Amino acid sequence: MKTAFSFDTVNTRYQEPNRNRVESKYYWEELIRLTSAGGFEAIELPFDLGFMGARCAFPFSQVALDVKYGGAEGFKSLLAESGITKIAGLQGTAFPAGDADRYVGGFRMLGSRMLEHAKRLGCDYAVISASPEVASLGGLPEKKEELLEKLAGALNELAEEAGDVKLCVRGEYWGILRGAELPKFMEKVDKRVYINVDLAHAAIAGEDPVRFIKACGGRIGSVTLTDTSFHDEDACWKGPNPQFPKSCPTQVFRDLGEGEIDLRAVLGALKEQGYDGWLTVSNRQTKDVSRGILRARYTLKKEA
Amino acid sequence: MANIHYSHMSHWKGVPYKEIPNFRDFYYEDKTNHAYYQSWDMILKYHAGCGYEGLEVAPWDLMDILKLFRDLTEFREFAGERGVQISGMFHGMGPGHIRENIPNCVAQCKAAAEKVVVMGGKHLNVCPGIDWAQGGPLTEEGITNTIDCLNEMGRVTEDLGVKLGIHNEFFCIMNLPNHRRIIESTDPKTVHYCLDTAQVSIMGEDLCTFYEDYHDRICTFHLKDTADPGLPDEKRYAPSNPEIQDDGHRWFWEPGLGVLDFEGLFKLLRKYEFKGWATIETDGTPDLLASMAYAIYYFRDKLGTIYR
Amino acid sequence: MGENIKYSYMAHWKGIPYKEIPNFRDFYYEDKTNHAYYQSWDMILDYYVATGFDGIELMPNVREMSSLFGTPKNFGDYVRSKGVQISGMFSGMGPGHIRENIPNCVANFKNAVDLIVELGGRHINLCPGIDWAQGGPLTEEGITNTIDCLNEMGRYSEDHGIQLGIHNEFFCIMNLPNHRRIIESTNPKTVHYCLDTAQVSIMGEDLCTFYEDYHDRICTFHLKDTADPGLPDEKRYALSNPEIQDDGHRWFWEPGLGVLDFEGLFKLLRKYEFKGWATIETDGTPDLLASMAYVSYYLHHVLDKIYS
Repeated sequence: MKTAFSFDTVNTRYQEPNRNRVESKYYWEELIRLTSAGGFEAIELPFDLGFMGARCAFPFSQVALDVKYGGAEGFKSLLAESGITKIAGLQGTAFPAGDADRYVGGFRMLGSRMLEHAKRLGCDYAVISASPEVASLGGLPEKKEELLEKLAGALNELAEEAGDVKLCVRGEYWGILRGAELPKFMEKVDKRVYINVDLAHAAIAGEDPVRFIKACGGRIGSVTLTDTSFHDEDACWKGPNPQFPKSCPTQVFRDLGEGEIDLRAVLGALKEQGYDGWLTVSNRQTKDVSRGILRARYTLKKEA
Repeated sequence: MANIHYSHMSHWKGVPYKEIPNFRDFYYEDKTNHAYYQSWDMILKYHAGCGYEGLEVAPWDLMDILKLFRDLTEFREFAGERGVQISGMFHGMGPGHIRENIPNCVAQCKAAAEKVVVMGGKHLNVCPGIDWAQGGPLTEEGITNTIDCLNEMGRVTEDLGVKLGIHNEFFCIMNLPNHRRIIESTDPKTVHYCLDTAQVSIMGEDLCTFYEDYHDRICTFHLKDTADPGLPDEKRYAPSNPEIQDDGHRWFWEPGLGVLDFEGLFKLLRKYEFKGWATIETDGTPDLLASMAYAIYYFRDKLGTIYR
Repeated sequence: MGENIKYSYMAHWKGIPYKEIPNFRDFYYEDKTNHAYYQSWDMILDYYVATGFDGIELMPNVREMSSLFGTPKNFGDYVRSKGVQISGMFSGMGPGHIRENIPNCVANFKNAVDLIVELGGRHINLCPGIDWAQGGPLTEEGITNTIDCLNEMGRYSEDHGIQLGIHNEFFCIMNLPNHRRIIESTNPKTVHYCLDTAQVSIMGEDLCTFYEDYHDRICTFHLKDTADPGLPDEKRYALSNPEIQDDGHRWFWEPGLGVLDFEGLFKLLRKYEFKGWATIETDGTPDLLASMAYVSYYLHHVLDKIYS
């Protein structure tokens, strides 16, 4: 098993002091060096379709890489200069829509473009969310079976495009495939599509991560190491902003090692399943990117 | 009674919580100052604490706002309870320089103005087109279409009791070669101007001259400073959007930290007896609260000796 | 400023390395974070004005004042030129519970009073002894010595137009068993009381009852909140100084974020027609400016409605 560090660690969306820095290229150039200093030789990138063009230097879309970093090759050279030799994978979520055909159409397009981008960057996997938060899907969750059937169809089509890239489906705790629902759903999907195991999402959905890994069996295509101490007692997953539970604000996703998940047990379970792929650290709600990198490295040293 | 009512441009980006009822516990999770910037409750209180009467809403935040509040009326009431009014909203005209887009641009403008009405605001400050990098320069036809689009938008906003203020930007498709011509070709009764002091200076206008020339069209302001007045064409028209610079160079600064003549401007405000909202804007700052505190001190307390 | 209460903010900024930063933009660019915004007295005092504070209460950092301003008087003049008054200074009595130390404690106190006179302040808020962990409990002799020391100090300060306010702290050697006795044994004409609302509550007094009982002695305040009123003896008397907790637990919160009854207190201020300075203190906050802005809101939009 090899480790990567996800650049979803950077808050591009919400308010915090010094947030302005992340819009400029110099910030990402330094982040690459800091990630390498944290002992990581591989990264994961969030993927977006680039509708905002290259206004900001987030290296998440093809257009941003082309305009700001000299394309895929230019970006890979920049990484290599700092000792990061691999972009392990990508992750993306389709735009919400209240209509099944529109949503699945968007899902299909995202998947296709992400696979294309993953091949360009030499990635081993691409993680696609089964859905965004249910509260943003209008009345769709009530027609869940119909939606899941269309989703399975879209995934089967994407399986034909995947090639050497492992397309992996993630079931967020706030989505339409929570916890154990995901491996069950995947029985209907082409075996060339895999499952992404995200520890915190499984745990918050009420599925012990070790049990979840066993349920996924040999279908695990990528593993995202996230941590949490959040217990969704108020069913925040059903409402808007589920990762910011309004009844009791808290940092849902903790830096690796700072939550309750038993990483040692998880790694043991993965070994038992014969998993030999990427373990990608995601400190997606960190309050301090640099500290998060070091915390992750320390935790991996201790538990892995 | 002050003549100038200060509003603050909301560059807070996503604010994840409406309120944080368990503030101490939330603070303890991390023990940094992050907890202080995570709720509209606290952020609005900072506005009131700094003496801002208003907030100008960013349209890109509406989706996040509506996840937290039942509707924009609730948002307005929530802000009001904390001593803050909504002065207006920013808006982008979009590609109205292409004739077939005009109906859609006008429809979007109307929808935005309706939201301003719901929020109790007065101003819709409109960037008059797409980025220069995406379609400049404006052709003669493009100029005509821009004028027509603005005039139509002005009619619909005026009917709703909202003032449309052209808010030009140094990298906009409407730029120095046609800026004044377009302003002067629009209907002065319905198409007003929101003077962004930095944007217009970077574009190449002299701030005080511009205000002197168009004071009767200027209904409001985005007050901010710059150290880059008169930026050359090739930089304003750069194909990679120049707004965010790779090396973190800031176009915009808090007043007094750049080079613009705000004292001169305030003497003109006094001369022409400006009355109304003025939005203080500090995009690009690393610390919105420090900037908003510093900026209102500068305008209200320091320049307030010239005119308030 | 209200009619009756002038608000000061306690300077917990620690060392401020610059008087002014004339090359602000370049200084900012060295790091491109918000650090630059908190490095000069110039900007920090602007934040005071912006957030509506009338005054600043100082920590006795003569060395810094002198190195940046030449003399304390120059520092005081500078602060006033920015629109901020100096309400007073905090200080510590030292080990005056031991008789042979009294002359030295009084001598240091006199220096502090002289400094406040030079700075143009009004209050010296005095912690009445060393930490309990360093020498508690007070013996009978210790109590007598403390009273005598305070009385001697009070004479000097009153003669120089400065009000000495006993500012007790929950971990101080003067503590709940002898707090009231010592207050009542000192000269009411020259030894006053600075009511630190959190410290006294943590120590075990009920805030409103204490104010009701001693309103005629209380000349000023440190207004701050707590979530730990009535802390048990063993915690207050802990041998490892309890002020800063190993796990980052905060004793003090911004007014309104803890559990104290400020509205009840302000009703009493109204009843007894308090007039004068009240200092807001937010030691332990991760963000002094956020705390200032928040507190300003709370004072002017909540508590002022009861009494200002």
